[in-house]
Amino acid sequence: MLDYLLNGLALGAIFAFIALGYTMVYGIIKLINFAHGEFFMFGAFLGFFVLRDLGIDRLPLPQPLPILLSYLVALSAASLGAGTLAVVTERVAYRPVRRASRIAALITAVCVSLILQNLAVKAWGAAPRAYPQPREWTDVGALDGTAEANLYALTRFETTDGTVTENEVRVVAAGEPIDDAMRERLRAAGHERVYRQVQVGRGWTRGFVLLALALWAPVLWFLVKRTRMGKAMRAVSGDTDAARLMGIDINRVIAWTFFLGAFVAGVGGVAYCVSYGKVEPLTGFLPGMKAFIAAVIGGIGSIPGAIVGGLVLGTAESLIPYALREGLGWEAAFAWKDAIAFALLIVILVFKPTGILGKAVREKV
Amino acid sequence: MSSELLFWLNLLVGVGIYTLLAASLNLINGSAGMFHLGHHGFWALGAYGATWMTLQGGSLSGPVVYVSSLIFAMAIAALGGLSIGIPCLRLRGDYLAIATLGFGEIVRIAVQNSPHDFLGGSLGIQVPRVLMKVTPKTLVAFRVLTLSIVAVACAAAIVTFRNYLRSMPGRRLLAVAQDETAAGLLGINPTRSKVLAFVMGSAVAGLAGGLYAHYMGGINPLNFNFMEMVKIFLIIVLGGMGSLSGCAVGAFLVVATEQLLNRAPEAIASWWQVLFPLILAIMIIFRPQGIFGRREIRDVWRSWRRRTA
Amino acid sequence: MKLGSLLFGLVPLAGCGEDHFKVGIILPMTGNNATFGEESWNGLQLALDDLKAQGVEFDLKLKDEKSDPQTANVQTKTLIENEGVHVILGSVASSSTLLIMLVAKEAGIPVITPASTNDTLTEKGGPLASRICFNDTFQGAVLANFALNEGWKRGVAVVDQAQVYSTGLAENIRKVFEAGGGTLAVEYYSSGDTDFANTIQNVANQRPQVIFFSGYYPEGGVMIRQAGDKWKGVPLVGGDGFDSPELPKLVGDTNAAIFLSSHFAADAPDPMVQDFAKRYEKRFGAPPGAMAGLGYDVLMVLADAVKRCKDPKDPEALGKAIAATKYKGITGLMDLTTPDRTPMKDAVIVRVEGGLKFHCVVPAAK
Repeated sequence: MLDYLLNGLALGAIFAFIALGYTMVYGIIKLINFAHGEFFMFGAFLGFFVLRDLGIDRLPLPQPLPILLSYLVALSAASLGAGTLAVVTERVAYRPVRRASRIAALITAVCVSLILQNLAVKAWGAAPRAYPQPREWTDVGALDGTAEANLYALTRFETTDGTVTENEVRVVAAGEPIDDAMRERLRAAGHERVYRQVQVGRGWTRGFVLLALALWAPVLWFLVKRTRMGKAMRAVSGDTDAARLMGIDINRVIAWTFFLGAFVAGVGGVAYCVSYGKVEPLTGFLPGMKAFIAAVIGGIGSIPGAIVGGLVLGTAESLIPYALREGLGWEAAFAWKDAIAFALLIVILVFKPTGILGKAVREKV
Repeated sequence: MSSELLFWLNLLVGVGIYTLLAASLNLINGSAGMFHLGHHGFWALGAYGATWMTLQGGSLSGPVVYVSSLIFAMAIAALGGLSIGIPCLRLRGDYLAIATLGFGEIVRIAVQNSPHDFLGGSLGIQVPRVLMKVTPKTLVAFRVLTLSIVAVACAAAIVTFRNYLRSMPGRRLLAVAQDETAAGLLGINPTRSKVLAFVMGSAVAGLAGGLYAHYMGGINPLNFNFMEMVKIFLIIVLGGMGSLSGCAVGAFLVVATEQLLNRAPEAIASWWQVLFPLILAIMIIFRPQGIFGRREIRDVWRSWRRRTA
Repeated sequence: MKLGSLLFGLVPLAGCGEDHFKVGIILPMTGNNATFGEESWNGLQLALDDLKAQGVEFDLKLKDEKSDPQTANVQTKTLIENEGVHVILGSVASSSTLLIMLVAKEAGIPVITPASTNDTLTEKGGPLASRICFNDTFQGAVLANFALNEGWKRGVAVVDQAQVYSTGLAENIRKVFEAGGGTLAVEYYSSGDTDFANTIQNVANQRPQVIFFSGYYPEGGVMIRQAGDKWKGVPLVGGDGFDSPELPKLVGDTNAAIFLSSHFAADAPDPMVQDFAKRYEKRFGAPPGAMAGLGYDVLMVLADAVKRCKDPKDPEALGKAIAATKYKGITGLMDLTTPDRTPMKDAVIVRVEGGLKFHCVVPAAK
């Protein structure tokens, strides 16, 4: 039961990251940005290319810096890229419909989402790709003692299987046993110990997501509550016309909101793909939709609401099927988890449309 | 050339089915002003309802099974309309859209997860040919027959909707769509109007589903995904959200473009997925009233004649 | 209608005028099963060149079904009605092949699938539908017996409920496994899922001795990686849906022993296979997987049938010729004279160790 709870919380944290973007944009211009899932996906892809192609994890630095640096760059690229895409999208597609009807704005958002998804398919192909997982070198033992296969020998610099970097002399390929002849060659080249590259444990990647959320939540809170831009955002969200009259540059504030929301989603994107091991152009669709549900559950327009909503939805997706299965003996309960999420949405919309933490807004006649 | 004829027959049947879907969505979105993103759910309910009924048909004669499956499809879809319409009555705008979207997805997921021996589940299910045997020699005849049935259904639906909108209940609906509170003050029951619109719209979508199932010979839950919903939306936006003739014209434009692009080399055809949401976005930004706005072909014809007279 | 034809007549009207023998190919070139499609197409091209060297030419028209059965349905209609093909080869995933066969049945066009193993296909597809690979009745038995022979009696099957291939194979595994004294629990997921945490947990809770995968490699590989050591090195046994060069990459590091059943292994000791593998690797830069071998063989089988057929443009005659095939290719002997036009072929067990490595042969059911 604990496992399911933890699974749910980790998933929920990712939903929360994405939900933050939805809620911030909705709070400010009352638009459900359907394309938010695509910002998330774009960030994930940028992170993918950084991790796979830049080779930062192969830099000659003491462990575990290369791996940490690689992920740091990936996260920055992902969040900055997603943020930029969001700002551009807002300028090109959403500003023209700001004064139009709600239907028009929503349809535009859906279209942007589809366009971005399919552009991604054209650019990168629809096939899912394996997402680079964080790996670390573990010390297996002294060269003389080991004979295992599947090992990688290390010089003072990191190497990967088969490739030859400048200072490296000889690397044991995966699957090759270290026999005596090999041992001689390696010893001659200066190797003394044998290392193996293993994936970082699941616990770490899970923990990373929750840790990231725990770090970002207060940062966002600070940005919204204590900075001038944050105040401006709250002003615009409260009463746009009044804010304009007070001299606030609406366009800038809106652009900033989009940027911030997507920035966080970019982080979520990398976290999601690292957790689940793959990335594809359609990655953003379902988590985007679920994160939107999470934002509604928590109270759309409310930042703590997004976090609460995300965690609630994530845990519900895990625990409700678990309960149905254990309690009612419904074998296939887990297959219905998506339907459960949508059903939860409808229930909330019908009974408490403002969500868990939302404020009731009186509808002016 | 036989295969050219087959192609155009297929295209026209598609146009017919999408016209039905567009007209029914138009009633809910355009005339009743309810922002509904779950129409594909009603379509699916109709298709699966008709399939189930057909499978129960047993030894009854073909046309009897066919017609009763269509009626059943409409009933099931209408029930769906009722069950989503009533809880969502209090919702407006964005919230209604999302709730109905959720409904559409729930239907799809429900079918996808249902046991394989019940309705095929995720594997899809074959619909037995009850009207006539379809072989290479009879393929053209089959398509012509289906096309006639679909054309009749379209005509019936359009006439029904047009008469409804001109009648008292129809006017009440339009009033509610304009301003619900004001309509309420005039003694109109908004709930009844809106629910009626939902039920009528979903029933016709169900009819489209039944016709679709019989024509395709097999259906799969993936046929009824959100992209289809967006396509139907494109049709009504293109045609004009209050116009029935707009639905037919829009359906022809969208279906024809899609099918013709399909014949083009892959490099061009794959841009359709990017193109059609782009067209929809451009339409909604620059010409949200579509081609016909709220007018019908007759009105356009008349005003054109007046100008050139 | 006339205006429409005028306007859109700009789009070339294929199939009009010339009526030479055309072969339609439907494969998943993009999407979830992309590697299957690519490999099959590579095999087809190699076969096309080999046949050209023998003086036999074929006009192949390839359509991408994007790993989506609905697209396969539409593309089949396009191939038959617009391109006027006389026979269709494809596809790989049984869900898509089923639809292709049903459409082709109504149009009266023969279909040969290189790699779809679901039992019901050739029955539902009619007398013009056939395949050159073994079916899941056989494959299920292969996997179940493999596990039983290793002494693994308590098993869990992880099934993709959205794919007819997966549910069919799992059912066949269960029949033989339970008849042999094993117990089998079942866990479900759907293709396209990314979060398998709960499925993984459910499987771990059963504490099995063996885990069967009857689905495809994109989900299976990711699931194995996500499982990490939750499954404590329990051996994993997959079907031919796992045979892809992407699988070892997706799986990452794992201690578990991973086996899969397949049609063909590039490093098998058979000289015909070795020759093909060398030529394939020279041309495409990587060793051939099972799909490549089957792609090669399906065109060879078609060529063989066309040779024996007086008028290949007559679908009935071609269908009869195909059903009378007895051809030995690189994936084995393909005898299609069986009642369900499915050959009895040997299977190979492949293990995942760095890449895909040949493990042993399981002879065909007699």
